[in-house]
Amino acid sequence: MKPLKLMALGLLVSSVAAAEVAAPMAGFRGFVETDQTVNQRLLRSPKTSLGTYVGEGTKDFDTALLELMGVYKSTGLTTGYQNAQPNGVNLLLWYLVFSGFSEDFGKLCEDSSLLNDETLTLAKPLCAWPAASARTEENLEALWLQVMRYDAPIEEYQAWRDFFLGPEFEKVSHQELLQSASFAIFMNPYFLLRK
Amino acid sequence: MKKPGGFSQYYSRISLVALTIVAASCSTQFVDDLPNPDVVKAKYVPMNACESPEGKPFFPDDWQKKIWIEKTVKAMRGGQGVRGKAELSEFMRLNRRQVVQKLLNDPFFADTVLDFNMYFLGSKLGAVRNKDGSFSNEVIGFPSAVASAQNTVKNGDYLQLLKLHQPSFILPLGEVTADKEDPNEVGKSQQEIRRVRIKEYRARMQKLLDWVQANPNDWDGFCKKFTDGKQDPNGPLQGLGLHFYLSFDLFFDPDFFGKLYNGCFDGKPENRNFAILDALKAAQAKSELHIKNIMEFEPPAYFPATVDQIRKIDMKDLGASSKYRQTMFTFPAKVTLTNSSTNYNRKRASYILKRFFCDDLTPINVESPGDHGQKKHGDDPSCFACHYKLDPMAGFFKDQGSFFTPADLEKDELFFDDGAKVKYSNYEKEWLETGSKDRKWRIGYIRAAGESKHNEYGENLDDLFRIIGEAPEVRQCLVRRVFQYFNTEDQILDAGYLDYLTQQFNTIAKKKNSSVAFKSVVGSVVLGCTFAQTDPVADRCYDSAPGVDSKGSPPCKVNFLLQKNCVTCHNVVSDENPLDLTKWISMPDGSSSFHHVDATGKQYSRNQTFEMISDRLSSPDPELRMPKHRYMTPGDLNELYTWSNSVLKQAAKEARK
Ligand code: HEC
Ligand code: HEC
Repeated sequence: MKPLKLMALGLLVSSVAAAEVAAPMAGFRGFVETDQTVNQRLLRSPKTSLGTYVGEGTKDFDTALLELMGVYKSTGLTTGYQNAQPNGVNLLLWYLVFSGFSEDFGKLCEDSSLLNDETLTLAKPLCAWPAASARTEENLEALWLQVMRYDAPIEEYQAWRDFFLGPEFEKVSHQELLQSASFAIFMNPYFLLRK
Repeated sequence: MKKPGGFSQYYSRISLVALTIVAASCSTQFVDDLPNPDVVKAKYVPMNACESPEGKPFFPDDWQKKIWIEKTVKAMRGGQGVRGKAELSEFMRLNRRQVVQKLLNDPFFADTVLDFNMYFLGSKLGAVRNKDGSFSNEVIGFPSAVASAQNTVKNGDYLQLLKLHQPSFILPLGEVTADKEDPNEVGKSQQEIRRVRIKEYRARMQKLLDWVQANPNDWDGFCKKFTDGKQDPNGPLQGLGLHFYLSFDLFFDPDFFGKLYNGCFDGKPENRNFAILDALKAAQAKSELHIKNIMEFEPPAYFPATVDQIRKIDMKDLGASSKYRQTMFTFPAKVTLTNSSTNYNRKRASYILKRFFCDDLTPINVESPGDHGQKKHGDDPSCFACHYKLDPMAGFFKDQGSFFTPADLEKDELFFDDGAKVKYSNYEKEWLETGSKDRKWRIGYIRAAGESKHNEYGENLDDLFRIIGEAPEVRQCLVRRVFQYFNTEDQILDAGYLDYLTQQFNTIAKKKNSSVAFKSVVGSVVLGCTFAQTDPVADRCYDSAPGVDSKGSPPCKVNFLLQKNCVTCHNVVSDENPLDLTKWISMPDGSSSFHHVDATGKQYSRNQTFEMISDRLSSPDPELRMPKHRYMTPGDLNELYTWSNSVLKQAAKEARK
């Protein structure tokens, strides 16, 4: 669970710091929007839900969990965006969702059933990681843009790219690279938070 | 997963990055944007604070423009982002106005309009479609939102949104699941199962009719069959997949099966004063009509791909009686806006004030709701602050009982959602006007207590809808919601800019129509400087009305609160009003203050003005306390008061120097 703590720290630090500059960030995009985004950009079937990574579809599942991840109350007339502010609980849930999902994402070279063709084509060159031919800016940019599109400033991309081209990931397997690199995009505030 | 140490470094990097890029591109101008004469009229698009005449491009680099494009496309296509590289480069060739114009004409813009409309009415979904592209059933809970979105596509009447009397809309019949115990259904397709059920309904109905013919007025015998799950003809009829928003009380409509259920319900003779056979035959006719019309909406033959393909349905064609009031307050309203023997429609009133008038009365924990019936707590000063307008608004609903069922005037009774029943003629006395001979009822939209010339009075929901359709506050609220929808709810909005956008809306609505007006406001907001921020600061105003020198206004943060709470009375200095809270003028000593004059017309010093403001905000005397006879939220009060005091402190500090 160590990475979780760090991740939480990452997100909280950035929102707390922003709060000091001015007002708090506007909060999570919420489950519905994020699920839809992942669907539109990456997935093969609209039936796949990020909710499955926190147990949706199993008999113990409680939809209240998804509500904790930021939702508009979807019935009735009392609109209110709920659980939008990052806190320990919803952060944990997002962590669970995306650590599970990025694990599956990391298997894309072996199993092509989850992701859409466009994503597979763009990410395939990374299957040769850690070969030098795979470790290029071009390949990483393709992955970043496929997941993030232009939701984040270029500095975010550059920091991410340099980190994964750096020594930490020089020798890891392609699964590990794909898993960690996609996970880092999913947990980026620009992916999760409404700006 | 990689060693945590690396991530820690990476993430501290991210938070640094997040901080350093806060200041986006807003001190530059978009020379790449040509004025566009069409949908977004150039002269209506406000000059934003971020447009300086320096002649620099709006976006310092392509990446920034792409960020804006992705955000804009998503916001204006109901959540669907750019569809790939080719589309992105297509958009990159356009300037911002062209991008917006293209999107205003995109068929999926109607998704955004629908989503916004639902948000306006109080139900934000996050997405109007399911992931398979079908529309969320939630949308048929809001017929006026759908009608308005459809009109927008055709440049028709956008403001249909405010007319809650609307025909219903219908989405494809929902999935039906086979009854595991019924061999006729197991393993069958959706279409087959529906037909099995129709057949089953007909068989049951025929059997029951035959029996009643043989036993004409045997109520007890009839009820035994009619309420038995294996013989009730209504059962299979309800299993065809009509969404419960539409079917909820349809089958219990008196002209459908309702009369028969009523007769069987408690056995009272007055509920059985008709021939069973006649009622059953009438229900049969309705059922056949129902079947015929409902099957037109079976998927996949019916599967609306765009908002304008969602079809209307006259509930009478599904078997409802003409008195059926379903569409006015639909299922979501019925279950949310309940009424009780102590609430007296205040929840409904607070909904109307909040959603249509942007007037957020925050419900407070009422300590002794018990004394309500005897005393009008609207007279108690601390309660008066909200209830002077809440209670008259509630009156519009006086004849709406539980689930918005009209009062039964013959029986002189009305039911509440908590099951209690009242004598209607007593209950409606709650809203009798006692303070004036001009009208019978103390029912209306109250702008100022005791100043009837400012208020809009009426008696019933038709009056309320008329008032909503005409009130300038509602238009302004709509425009405010557009801003909040495309930005965020907590983003501060300069009141002058809001006014400007509202005028833009009204002018275009009058000259052309409300759809073009709506689109122009959406266009202005997404072309605005607030929307262009990657990390907007919530309490900063990025947009202001054209020609307004923000140097001449009070600081944006309080300006907004002053506009909201004070300037209706304190705008220009006149004989009645010595204080203009909209003008922030330079004083001879170099400081700034409001335009504020004494009886001789001489400008007060900053100190004098702010002492008076602080006093008036905190006075316990309701005659002196500002805003005069009006309610201001404690949050607003606190902020204004703190600000006023900080100006005084600053003045004192400067005086000591
Ligand atoms: C801040 C505005 C505000 C103030 C001040 C206020 N009320 Fe209310 N009150 C409301 C609103 C809004 C509702 C409707 C709440 C709902 O049902 O959603 C309400 C509802 C009520 C109800 C009906 C409660 C029920 O559902 O049975 C009573 C009784 C009532 N108020 C009494 C009072 C009294 C007495 C005071 C003064 C002590 C007071 N109110 C002050 C806003 C206010
Ligand atoms: C409903 C109308 C109304 C609203 C709203 C209103 N005022 Fe007033 N205000 C008046 C009237 C009328 C007077 C003059 C009569 C009096 O002295 O009460 C006045 C007087 C004042 C005075 C004293 C001016 C003088 O020279 O004596 C101050 C200060 C003031 N208001 C501040 C405010 C502030 C601040 C707000 C907003 C929080 C506000 N008012 C909202 C009607 C209003």
